[in-house]
Amino acid sequence: MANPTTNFGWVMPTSTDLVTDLPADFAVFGQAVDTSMADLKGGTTGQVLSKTTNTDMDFTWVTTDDTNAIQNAIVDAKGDLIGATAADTPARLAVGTNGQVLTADSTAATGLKWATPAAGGKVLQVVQGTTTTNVVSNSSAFADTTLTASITPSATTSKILVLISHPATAKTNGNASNRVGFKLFRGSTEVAYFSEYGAFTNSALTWIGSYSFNYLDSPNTTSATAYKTQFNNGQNVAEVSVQHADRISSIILMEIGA
Amino acid sequence: MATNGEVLRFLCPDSEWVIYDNDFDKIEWIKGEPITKAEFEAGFAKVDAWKTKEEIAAIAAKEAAQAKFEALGLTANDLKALGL
Repeated sequence: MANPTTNFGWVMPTSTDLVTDLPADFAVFGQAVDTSMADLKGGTTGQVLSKTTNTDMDFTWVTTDDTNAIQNAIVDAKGDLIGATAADTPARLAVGTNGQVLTADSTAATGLKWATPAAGGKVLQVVQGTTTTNVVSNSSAFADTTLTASITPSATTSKILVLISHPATAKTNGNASNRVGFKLFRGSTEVAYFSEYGAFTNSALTWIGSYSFNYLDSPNTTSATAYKTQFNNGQNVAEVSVQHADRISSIILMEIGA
Repeated sequence: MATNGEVLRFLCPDSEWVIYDNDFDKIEWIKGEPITKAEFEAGFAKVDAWKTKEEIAAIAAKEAAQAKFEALGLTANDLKALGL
């Protein structure tokens, strides 16, 4: 064995020492051991040794608190979170469903809840309908233009922005007073009467032009809802037409979140 | 060539209707008695003949009027000057 010892450098008696020197040598050795082990002395039940500094054999007895540590068993499933129901009282908050966000809620046990984000103030879906069917009328009775589209709102609070374009609207030159009117219907319900004297020229001439209309509707339903336009010839003379020369008309339905 | 609307107006002056897709079979009769498809198809020739007759009559009337002007020593510029 090395002398002094390899790890602690304790000096021991050697084989050549005089017997009369041994008590003093053991006193030196014993004191060195005692000094090295000083930090291991003391402590109380449950305490553990903790390094005080990086210096060898520099320890401090410290108290652990395992009983108050958050235990693994508090969570049960993937995505679980740990919240608190009161001061010093942790509790499990089970994961929400896909797409939900964590929201503060003072009425919930942990003061938190998973909730579906409000779908407000944005375009939720867009639907378009078109037609190229030429329709000619000489009647003041309103008739389908064949332009229609259907949308199923995701919430009763949603609004439907209706964008309508009849780019090829015409009147013939058979009379000075023939004119075109347009209405918007939701199902069988008239929701807007856009134009009564459209294309009116007060002269017996041919007129071909574009009509566009916008309307913000509140259908208050989550059922499939059809929108369509109707038109008429307000004077019952000569003719008016839509989709003249089979040109396209379009209706765009945009669901706007509340 | 007459249009569908002109034919219907000529044959059924008191009727109200809507034609979809230029198809006689898709006519929605709103007021008045419907006509047959044969009557409708024969109507194109009738309307074309009537329009020709109207155009000839218009030309004749114009020529007669011009002859009267000239007999009075008037010209088209004289009528414009009078605001006519």
